[in-house]
Amino acid sequence: MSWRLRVVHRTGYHYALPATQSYNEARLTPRSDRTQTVETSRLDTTPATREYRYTDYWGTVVSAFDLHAPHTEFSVVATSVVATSSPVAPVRTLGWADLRRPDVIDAYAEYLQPTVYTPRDDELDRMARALSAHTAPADAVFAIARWVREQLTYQPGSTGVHSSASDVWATREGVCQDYAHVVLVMLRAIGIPARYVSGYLYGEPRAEPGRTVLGESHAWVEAWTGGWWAYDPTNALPVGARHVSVARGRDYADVTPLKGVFTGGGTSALDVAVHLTRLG
Amino acid sequence: MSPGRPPAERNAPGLYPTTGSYPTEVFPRAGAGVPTTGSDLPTVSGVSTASDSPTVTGLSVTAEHPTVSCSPTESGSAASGLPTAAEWERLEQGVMQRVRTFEAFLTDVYGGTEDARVLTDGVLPRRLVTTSERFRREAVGIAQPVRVAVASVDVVRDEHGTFRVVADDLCCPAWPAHVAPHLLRALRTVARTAARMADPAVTQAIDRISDRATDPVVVALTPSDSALARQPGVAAVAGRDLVCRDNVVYHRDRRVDVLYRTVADDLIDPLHFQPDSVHGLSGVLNAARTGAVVLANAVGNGLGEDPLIHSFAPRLIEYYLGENPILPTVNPESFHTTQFLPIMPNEQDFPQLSTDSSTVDNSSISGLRLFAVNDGTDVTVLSDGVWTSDLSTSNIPQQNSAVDTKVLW
Repeated sequence: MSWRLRVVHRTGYHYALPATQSYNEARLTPRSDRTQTVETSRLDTTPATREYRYTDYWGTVVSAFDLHAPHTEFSVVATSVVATSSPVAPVRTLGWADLRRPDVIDAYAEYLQPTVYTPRDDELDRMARALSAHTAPADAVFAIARWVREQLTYQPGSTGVHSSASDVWATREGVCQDYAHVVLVMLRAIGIPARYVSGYLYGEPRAEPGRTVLGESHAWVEAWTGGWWAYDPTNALPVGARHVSVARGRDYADVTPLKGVFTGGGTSALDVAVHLTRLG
Repeated sequence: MSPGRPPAERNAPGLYPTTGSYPTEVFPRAGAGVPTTGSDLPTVSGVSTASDSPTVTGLSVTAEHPTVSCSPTESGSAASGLPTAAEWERLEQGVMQRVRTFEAFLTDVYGGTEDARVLTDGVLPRRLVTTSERFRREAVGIAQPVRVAVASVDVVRDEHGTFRVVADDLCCPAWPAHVAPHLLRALRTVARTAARMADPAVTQAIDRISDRATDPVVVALTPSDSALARQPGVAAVAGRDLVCRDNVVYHRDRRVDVLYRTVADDLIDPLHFQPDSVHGLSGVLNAARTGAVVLANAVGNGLGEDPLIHSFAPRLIEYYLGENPILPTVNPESFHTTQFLPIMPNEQDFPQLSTDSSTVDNSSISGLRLFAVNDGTDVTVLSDGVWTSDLSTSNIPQQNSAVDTKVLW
């Protein structure tokens, strides 16, 4: 089953005082891959800027722009139309012994290591081992994702953009980013290469074409068990027709949708609004 | 390069040990030695070094100044530990070889959009790159004509009198003043090469502003004084003196073609690294990515100094140049059982050497520091004084440990 989705992601900064100069990078442009086809994508800024595009180490399309006139507001609107597809089935070609092979560990080392957002955690390590005993690697991914969903309470505002998996685990509250980080810690603890995916989810499973919903940036995980496949732990969902992926990396830091530095400006606030329309 | 390619297609899976340990320590970089300033030290050269060995990179390495004589003469060297003329030649060749190799390696890892050849060929374990703290993913995809414009190589004599490499500085070596004219000439050559390499879309915009092919602008971004800035036409600048606009770097109204910098990677661009850095320049990394400016040295070169990767240097030399390593390296594991011979121009005799290896005291050793200036075609090797390192502990310090270094010469 395939959907066509239009994503309009509006984000930007408000400055308390005029910023005289700012440098920004946006990672808001989906790429075509085996699970989705990007039909159109564009990015507009206000004030207008000259966009410079490149592809980063992770394969993500990056738009960079700088401003040199005083401004109190800077907004970016990323619009894309993407044809999505049914979920990719969990890959079951490799067992635990295969995942321990030196060549596998060497190839996927960066997806097995702790990061700032996904530090090693003794308690999560123990639980991951317990949940994965007597199961195949792909089933361990499901078991861990479901367990994390049971343990955490979805609570917008409970965590900040800089909360690590350990912070989240301490409070047992978080949002999709936090669910993903906790799952990544646990998968890496048992030797399953795992990565963070940023993107969007159309929230209504049975929407009619033409219907627009207010959405949010979303995040989920991909595990490597002989091939990469995705799972959405926040919603206990396979990643399929309602998901649009944008960027992949070790954790949130590798895929930050909009980041920048500015001169002047006083304090700044970030506004985000995502509208998703099912086109067909 | 790009992450996480499946390992199945490796040509030679047995090329490196898949289990076991790599050396976890190396001898420290001999410290941010205070260079002898103003002295007119000799160029280590004097030999025609047209490389006749097959090189995969196509670099032809020739000495630029073939007439300078080697300072320590054959007769005077033996007692002092300084190199003989034949040893100088070997050192020079060996340093050139290392610099060409690291240049090729760093270009392989950072310079392209494809996966690094050295990894897909299984010569270097991928995880040594992807788990290195000195790997800068932000710099992947930046093609520069030269990544190692200036480097230093520290050598010591082992107990048999053989010169061995203890450290390479590929990021930001502190070099003595007599290196400056060589470096400036190399940087101007690099700028001209970059002008030819650059994306035409970028070049058109640039060429309206300055003609970097004939008169490239070189500035030195150095928090402290640099001898480079005393060269004609070179401005010493702080980050606040520069501005990056649509991926072009300007100093006042002049377009900058080459940015020589002593600012560390983590401070060079607040957009990509430490956001509160006041020493760097926002946007400079993407300016380098477009080819509009060349950073000397390039961001990410520290990867080549990572102890684990450094231990693969002999294999990298064979891989990239198809040559046997000219200079052996100090094996970190035997550091404590090796008696390094002193190199002291002012002393006539070696101190009595201990024959009991268990009592070897390498807490204070001396060596030679050599500098290499690389313009992309030629590598010029220059000498510096003798250094000694006072290692305060019996362990070999990690790479970043401060080592008190004195230059005696």
